Amino acid sequence: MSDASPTFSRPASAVRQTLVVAATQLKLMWRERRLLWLALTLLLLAGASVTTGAARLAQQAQERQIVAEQEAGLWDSQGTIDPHAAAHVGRAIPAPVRPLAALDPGITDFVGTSVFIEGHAQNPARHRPVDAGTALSRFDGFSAAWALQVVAPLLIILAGFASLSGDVARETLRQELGSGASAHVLIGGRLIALATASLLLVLALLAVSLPGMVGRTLGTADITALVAMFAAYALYLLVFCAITIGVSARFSAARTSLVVLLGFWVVATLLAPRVAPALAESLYPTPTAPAFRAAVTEDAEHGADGHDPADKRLDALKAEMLARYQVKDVDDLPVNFRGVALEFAEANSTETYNRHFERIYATYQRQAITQRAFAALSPTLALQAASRALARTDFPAQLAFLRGVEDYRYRLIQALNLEVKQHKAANGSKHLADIATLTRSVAYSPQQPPLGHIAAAQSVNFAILLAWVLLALGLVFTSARHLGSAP
Amino acid sequence: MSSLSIAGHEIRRLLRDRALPVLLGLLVVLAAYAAWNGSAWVGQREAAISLINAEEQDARDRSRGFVGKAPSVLPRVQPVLPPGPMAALSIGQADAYPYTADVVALGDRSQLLRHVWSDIGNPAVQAAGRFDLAFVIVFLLPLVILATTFDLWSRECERGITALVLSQPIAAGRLIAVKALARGAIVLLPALAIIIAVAAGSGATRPSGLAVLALIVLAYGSFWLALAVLIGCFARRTTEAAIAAGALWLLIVVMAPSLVLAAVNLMVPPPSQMQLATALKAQLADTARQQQLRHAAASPATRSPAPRIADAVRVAYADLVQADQAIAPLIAAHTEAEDARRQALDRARLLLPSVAVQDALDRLAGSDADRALAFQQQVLAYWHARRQLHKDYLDRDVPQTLAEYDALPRFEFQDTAGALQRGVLIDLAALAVATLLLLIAAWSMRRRLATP
Amino acid sequence: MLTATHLVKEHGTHRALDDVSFTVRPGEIFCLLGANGAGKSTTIKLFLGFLEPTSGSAEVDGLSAWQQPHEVRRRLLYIPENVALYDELTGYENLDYFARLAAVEQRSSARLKDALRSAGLAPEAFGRRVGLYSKGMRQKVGIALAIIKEARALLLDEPTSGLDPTASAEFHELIVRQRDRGTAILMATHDLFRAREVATTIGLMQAGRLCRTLDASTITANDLESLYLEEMSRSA
Repeated sequence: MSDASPTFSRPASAVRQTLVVAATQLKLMWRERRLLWLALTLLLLAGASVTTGAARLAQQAQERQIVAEQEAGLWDSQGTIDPHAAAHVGRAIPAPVRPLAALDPGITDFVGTSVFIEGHAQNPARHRPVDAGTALSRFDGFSAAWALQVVAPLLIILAGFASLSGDVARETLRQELGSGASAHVLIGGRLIALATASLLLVLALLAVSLPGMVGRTLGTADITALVAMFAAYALYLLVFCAITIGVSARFSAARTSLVVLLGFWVVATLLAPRVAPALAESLYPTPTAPAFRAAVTEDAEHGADGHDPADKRLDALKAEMLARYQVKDVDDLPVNFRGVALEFAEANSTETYNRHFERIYATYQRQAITQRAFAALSPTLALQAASRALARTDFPAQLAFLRGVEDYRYRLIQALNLEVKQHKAANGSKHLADIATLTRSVAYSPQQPPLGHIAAAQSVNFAILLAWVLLALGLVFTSARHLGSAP
Repeated sequence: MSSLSIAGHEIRRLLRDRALPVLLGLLVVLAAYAAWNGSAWVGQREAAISLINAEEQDARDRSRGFVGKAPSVLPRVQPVLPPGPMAALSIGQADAYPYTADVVALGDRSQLLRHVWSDIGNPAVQAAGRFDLAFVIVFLLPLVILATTFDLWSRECERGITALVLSQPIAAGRLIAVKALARGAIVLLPALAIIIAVAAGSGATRPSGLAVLALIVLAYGSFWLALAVLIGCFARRTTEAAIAAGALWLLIVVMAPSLVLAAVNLMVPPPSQMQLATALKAQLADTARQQQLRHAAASPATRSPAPRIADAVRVAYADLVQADQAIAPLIAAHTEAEDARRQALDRARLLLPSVAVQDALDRLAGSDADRALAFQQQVLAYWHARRQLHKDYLDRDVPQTLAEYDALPRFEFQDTAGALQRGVLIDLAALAVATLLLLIAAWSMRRRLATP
Repeated sequence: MLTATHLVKEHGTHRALDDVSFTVRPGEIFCLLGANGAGKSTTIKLFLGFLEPTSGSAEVDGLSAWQQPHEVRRRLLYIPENVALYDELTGYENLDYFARLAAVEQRSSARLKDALRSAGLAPEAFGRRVGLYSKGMRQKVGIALAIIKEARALLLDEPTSGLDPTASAEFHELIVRQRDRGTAILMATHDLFRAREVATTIGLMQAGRLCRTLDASTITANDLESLYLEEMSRSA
């Protein structure tokens, strides 16, 4: 028989063969109705969650708008009173609503939705959505983000664990190898098929969720963030695809593959996200609220090192002012000493509170970094952090809000105190001023950190996801080589 | 073939399976960590409470010096809700309700909980969900049970052994029931022992409490066993059974409760706390303004002989009472809306076995909503009593004495619900009903079982 | 041409194959007869390059199966005991897929259908899902692949186990046709009678050794049976 048979022309390129394998695998997945139904159910549920979430957010935004207007009205209608009294009346500042929270609610239900600003104190945010619930409130975990982080990997595992392990799959593989295709082509094709299916799932989820969110206007920043989130989730699901194929190639018994993969899934998506934060907190604990308040009060009264009580400092200030203006009595000063004292007290307490709060925030940061170390066990931790950051539903986003509010509060209260300081009143009475005109120039202008900042902060998490992808692909490669020589 | 020999055979086979000790070992590790976590949280809560008590004692001592100089000296009291004896079991709703209050006799109602900060722990940690023993029981125990029982029927169906077995004179229904019970016993009893031991180790040592805990775990375990039997009726192949088990776990433990919660939130949305705070502020400001105008217009009447306690004090008190009456309807409306929502949530739990168990464990641990609300009721009553004391001093027109000051009643929370409270019984009943429904469904499919 | 030269395969201390040598020339059918565990499947796996020989070589057209597996697999076709096809694809789709993997250039629809017809598959079955095929029908798809691949060698592992007499006869007719076209065929089986009917040479395998090599044309069925039993009992 001649060697140059016309049917044996140049071997088809490996790439083309890989695509053939991938196409066939996708066709098989499509015809395997059970998994398709599961995926559709997931899409439906996730889509429903996004739509209801978006409706809830719209309603929240409306409510906060109303409250902000009411508070502004109440503040302005105080009329002509002692400016310092207004500092005690206070004002509530509602937090902004994050449009992407419909996809990834993050911690929004666990942080306060408004801050009450007043003089002499810095209050934490209050009115958390989780307050006043019952046992059922603890089950509020299902969101589109959770579906992609936990359920989609499970679907991938169920779709792929038997693609290369189990009697039937191994036999078919042997036949395919016997036909002349290389192991890398066969395994690569299956990986591409699984990855394509998961990519389609993410795209479908996006398509299903967008109509629900279109009601609110999404700015370019939000859309860019959405694209970045999509990229992160695509990488994450690719990790699971590769691990599934790699494990399936490694073990010839389907049962073993399933057990190993499910074990990894339970640890990575269910256990690690719960254990890591708890362990991080026990390593870097935060003080309880009573302890915190006690420390702040003590600090403000007695000075940072306990030797410099506030009274003494005020006395020193009084003496210094008397000397400066060369008068004997506070009433002879050109400024109202009450205002000076109020200014000083406010600056003192603000500085004290800030110091203590910053310490707490630093502890949170250290906890977050410790948690990130656990991402060595679970890619879900890296993705969760990145997804929340991009949706602006993590703590740094809340912190930006809190700092903006505190800045406004300080400016507002000091404006009131300045008014008192600059106007001396007749003996025994207090200077009155119209609060509305007085504080009109002090505006609350919340600043959102730009997307570039967030992306930079999340670069470590993206790097971790990439590392996982490389690790998983490495597993596929070594399993493929192992399989190619001994199927 | 007697049921006992079937059971014995099943147990022997399961004991040879290497998966069982691994699963139980994992359960030990996770349950131990969860219990440690729970007891650490309780320790933190107790430390915070002792700080609050010290603060209160401090305020009491300091105010003592004012007795006699003012008509009534009622120092600020900070009532606390102590953690229950089994609190390490479940953190539950303990973070969602205030555990302390600010009782200032001459303050208004809105001040009771205004400056009470909820814990300033990391919200990301709370958002992740608490890793307490309740989490292990509600979420992880079913996985352990399903992992050992999901293929109790399908494994043999696949190998063709079922055909052999059923060609003997034995009823399929009895066979699967005995197998399920045998497997259930072998996995549930050790799991129960682990959970009880670990709970006792974490400080929840009350015998009645541990007995109720055992009851809850057994009831929940039986539910999942019944589910495994139902899976056996449907799934002939092991991969099918595995997928069915996983899908059912996800559905029952995660998705259904979440969807029901979303539905309740849509139908009975929570009233806005933000709007209440603003409305209260507006109302109080309004009332204060009116009172100011009234006092400026009317001249104070002078009585003769002049009373020992100045009338200005009485006028101030009357103003206070009026302000409270003005905001009472707003608070009442809000409370009613909150109660309606809580009721809807409570009713919904009867449809969801996992939520029923969570609720039962919360009640056992004393971290449920009802106990927190009872605390708020008792605080309110105490505050009213405090007010009444002040009014009594005013009425008899004699200032407070030191002896009376020292005899001022302190706040002590009264635990009204025992271990086997009504809520827990309802939860157990709901579980029993669910298990029964599953068994009825399985029984109706016994013909399917009998044809391998 | 298939050549085994002093082929030895050890798994740890166990010798699966012990110094096996034989040649299958084009147009010949070599039947390996033996009980389960004799080493027949191991021999076939060595020719496929799925296993590495401990010593000796398995060559196809002078190419070493272990060192150049791709070249070797392009020249031959392997039909295992249970022809593993994708249940959710039709017979036609399966053939198309495997033909692509085998890098067969001319895969026109007509050619594929021709191959299936030549293999004996009824045209109504082309578009039916393989999950509904009988074992015989699956094997015909395997043969169709050999036809379209124009494989120079066929490796068959227990091809007629589980087939009814008609299907078994049909199958043998097909491989005889392949033999007549010049394909070298290595067939592992324990169907003594069919082996004698189609084989050119018969090799008796027991405990990894090729005990006897016989010319099929010079032996009767009865003799073959007694020889077989004798060999089996001797080595037992």
